[in-house]
Amino acid sequence: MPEAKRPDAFLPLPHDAVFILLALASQPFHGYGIIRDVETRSGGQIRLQTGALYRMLRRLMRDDLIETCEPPEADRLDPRRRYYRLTRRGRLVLDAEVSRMSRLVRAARLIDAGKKPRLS
Amino acid sequence: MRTRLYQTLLRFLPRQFRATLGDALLETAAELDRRQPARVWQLPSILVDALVTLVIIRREMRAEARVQGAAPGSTMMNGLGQDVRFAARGLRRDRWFTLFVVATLTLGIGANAAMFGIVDRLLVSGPSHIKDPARVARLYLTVRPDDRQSFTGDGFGYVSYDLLRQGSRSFDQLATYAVNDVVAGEGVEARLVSGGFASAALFPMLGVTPVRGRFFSEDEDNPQGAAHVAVLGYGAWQGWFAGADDALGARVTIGGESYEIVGVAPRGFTGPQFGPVDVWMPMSLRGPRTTKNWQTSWNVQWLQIVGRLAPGVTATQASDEATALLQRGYAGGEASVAHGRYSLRPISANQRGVEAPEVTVVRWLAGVAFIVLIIACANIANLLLARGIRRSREVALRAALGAGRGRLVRLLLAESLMLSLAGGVGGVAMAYLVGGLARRMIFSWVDWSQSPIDLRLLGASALLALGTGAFVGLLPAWRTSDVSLVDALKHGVREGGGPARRLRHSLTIVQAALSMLLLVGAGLFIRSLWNVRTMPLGFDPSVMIASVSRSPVPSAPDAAAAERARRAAATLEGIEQLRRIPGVAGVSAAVGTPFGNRFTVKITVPGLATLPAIATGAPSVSAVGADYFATVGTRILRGRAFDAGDHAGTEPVAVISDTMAKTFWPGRDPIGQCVISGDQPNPPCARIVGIAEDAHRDALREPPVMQYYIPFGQEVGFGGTVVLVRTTNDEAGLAASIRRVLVEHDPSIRFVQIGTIQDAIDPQTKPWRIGAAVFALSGVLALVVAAIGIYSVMAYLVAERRREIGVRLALGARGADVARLILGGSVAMAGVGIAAGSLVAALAARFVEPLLFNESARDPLVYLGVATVLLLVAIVAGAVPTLRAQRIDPLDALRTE
Repeated sequence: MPEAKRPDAFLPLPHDAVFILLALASQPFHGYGIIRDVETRSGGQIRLQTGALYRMLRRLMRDDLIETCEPPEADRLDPRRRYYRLTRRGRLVLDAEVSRMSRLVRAARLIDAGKKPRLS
Repeated sequence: MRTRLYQTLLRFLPRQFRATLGDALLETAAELDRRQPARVWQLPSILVDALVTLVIIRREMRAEARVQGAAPGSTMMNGLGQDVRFAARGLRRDRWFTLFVVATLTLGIGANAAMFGIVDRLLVSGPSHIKDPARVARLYLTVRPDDRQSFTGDGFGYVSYDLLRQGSRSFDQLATYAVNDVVAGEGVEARLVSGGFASAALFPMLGVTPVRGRFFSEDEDNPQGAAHVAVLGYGAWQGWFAGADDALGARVTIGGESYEIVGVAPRGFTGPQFGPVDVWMPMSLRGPRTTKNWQTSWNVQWLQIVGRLAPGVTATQASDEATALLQRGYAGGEASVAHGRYSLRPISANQRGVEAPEVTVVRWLAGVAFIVLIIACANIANLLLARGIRRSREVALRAALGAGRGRLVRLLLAESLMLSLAGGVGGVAMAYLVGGLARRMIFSWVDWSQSPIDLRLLGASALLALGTGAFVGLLPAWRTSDVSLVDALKHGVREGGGPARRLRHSLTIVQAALSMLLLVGAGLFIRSLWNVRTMPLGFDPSVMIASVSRSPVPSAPDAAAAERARRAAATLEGIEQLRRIPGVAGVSAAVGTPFGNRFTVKITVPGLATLPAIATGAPSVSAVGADYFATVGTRILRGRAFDAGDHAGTEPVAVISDTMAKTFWPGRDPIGQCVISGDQPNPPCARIVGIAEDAHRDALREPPVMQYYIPFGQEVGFGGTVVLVRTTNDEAGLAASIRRVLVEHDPSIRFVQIGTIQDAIDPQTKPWRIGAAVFALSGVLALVVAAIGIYSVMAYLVAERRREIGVRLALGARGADVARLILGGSVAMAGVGIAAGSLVAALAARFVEPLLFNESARDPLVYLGVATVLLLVAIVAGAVPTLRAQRIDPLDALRTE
């Protein structure tokens, strides 16, 4: 039984993890698909290596943020190929991370505006 | 390229990772290779990625495995597996501790497992292969002759069985049987085996099925003419025919008659009793050998009656019905029997209808085995506590790393459970060995052909081991896990603390007390056995006794009388021959011997209108040869023994026992008086020529009995000659000579059985022998365990208070003061244990007393002796820690803190 950790407990997520979760938030992907999506989403900034990708996938699966799923009809070529998607918890954690970041961004903007920062 | 690299990488990653993500990773690498082939300048980053992945994943997964409970995704079973691994590692480290604990548990669990098998057979499941044994009951008759004590027995004639079978509605089925020694084979091959004579109904009544062939039928057990068919016991089938299938249809010679083998009983089947049976034969073949009119006679008792109660019928209802039927049908003319009461009792009851004393002893032994286990538990709990305190820093570290208390208890409990399971395995092995030995040596009268290990025993041992593990582990685990993090991490072990020490001391005291209890038991039983062995019996039990099985005499009266005379003469000739064998100090023929055959004939005394009676009943009579008294060692108190001039045809004379003299002729001289025995017309009066000392007749515990002796050859109406031999050397060699001489002189002898009178007495000493052996063994075991317990507590105390002792020594305390502290501690623990053990033993005395022989259960000699032994052991156990304490270097002790 995975422990019932609150979504906040996972924050902040590593950079790579956010991009992987964002990729999977749109649709299920397989390994290479994730690499491609992350690359596009980051504007070519992040090019995941195979090992780095699977290190992260392993951790996300261990924490029950993503899970494997059935490949789409069109892609049944390589039986080794795995598709991943967000779990409910993964979505909650991603939402929490995104809103944490947006608060961060808001706070940073407030500093620019010369006001007192409020982080939470 | 990437594919190859990551393939290599995978080989160094944990199996779990390979299984879950390995394929997918390779597939991704392959796709990347296909779509974006690696450029040369990309190679370093790919290589770094692979190496980093290797290091990180390995480290992460190892950390996840280590941080128990806290690891997200780790499962309960996973955690258990880790606990077991950790426990195993810890136990391997403390090899001696583990070895000792497992050995102690092996003893504790083994003793119980061994007893379980015996208790299960004797007290719970009964003789094997009986379907629903609780519904099978044995019939007993209780009579109260005149004003004497009532007497219960299980011997019946065929007529009782027949009457009951015709009239009773309380039984589903009734059966009858008798188990006797019979001679199997012929000539030199002849040997004594156990023969069961059963009515055909016995087998279906018990619900047993043969492993080969069939049991015999009602037709074959027809009282009007039974068939010579036999069913072999499993052991006999294996022994005589090597378990061959062609045993069926083969023939065996039993008692000089040839029987066809029609079936084989299942392994361990002994009928409704515990002793082995080698061959089963129709009951109707045995009948004619008791008396001619065996089907109608009320005066012979040779059968036991067993029956399966009909559904809904209680033993009491069936008993009442049997009483009514038998009282109405009785035609034997014995008033006490006509008014006797019949009762149905469990088949495990003995021939007197009560639980046999050895079975009662078994009950006690089961208790003893349990006490041994408790001692073992106390000792191990003690050691685990001590070990727990020693490990408090480690436990604190785990707690600091986030392991909860539940988790810690689980880890520590896993340890004790592993220990106890190992002990359980050892215990089963020990049960196999010791149980097997105990069965053969102590419970040899029971058929144990089934393996001492069965599923019931394995299940019971497993339960016992688990229970023990939980029992010994829970308390230490709870205590050990209760750590104050800061203290423990800072100081490590220094003080076990007041409560923990008190607990360990109490556990040691419990061990000492229980050892005291067991050793007192051992002492009492050994004293009983000693009393039994040294009790004057009125004869020498080491005298050899040769009894013979002969072919039947001819049925014509004249021929029979001639044959009897010839046999008596042959016996006397044989005796003369035996006298000449070197090593033989005395030989005599006898009809009726102590602990052997007993004959009571009607007796009248001229001048006494009514004969005074005593509790043990009328006098019994033996016909003995001239050398009888010298041979068996019964002293003549007054007058003379028989001599060569007393034999068949000479003046009838008699020697009477002291008690008979005092009962019949109180205050007068019986010599010269006479007694008339038998009820033939115009009987001669036998003149009393001597008075012999009292001899036990057939029990170790019996009030004095009346007994008289007449010369061999003058007996009328009873027979069955045995030859008594007093020897001066090795009996084994003599037995063969005696057998050869007797057979040479009388061709009618089929088999000579040779033993001593002691052999006949031995079954009666069984309870004391069993008690002495088992109590002594378990008492010594308990003592060893308790000694180690005292040692470990004191040794631990020394380690624990090293600093304190160092300070004391630095402040000028002398070695003697330290000795007082440590040695005094162990003696005090033993002392309290002795006191507590004595108290419990004295309280239990009331219950043990009936099992002892002429021995008070509060015998101060035994208590004192055992207490002394325990104190000595405590001193020895405390000596080593004391020496160690005295050698503590004050400076060193203070510096290490």
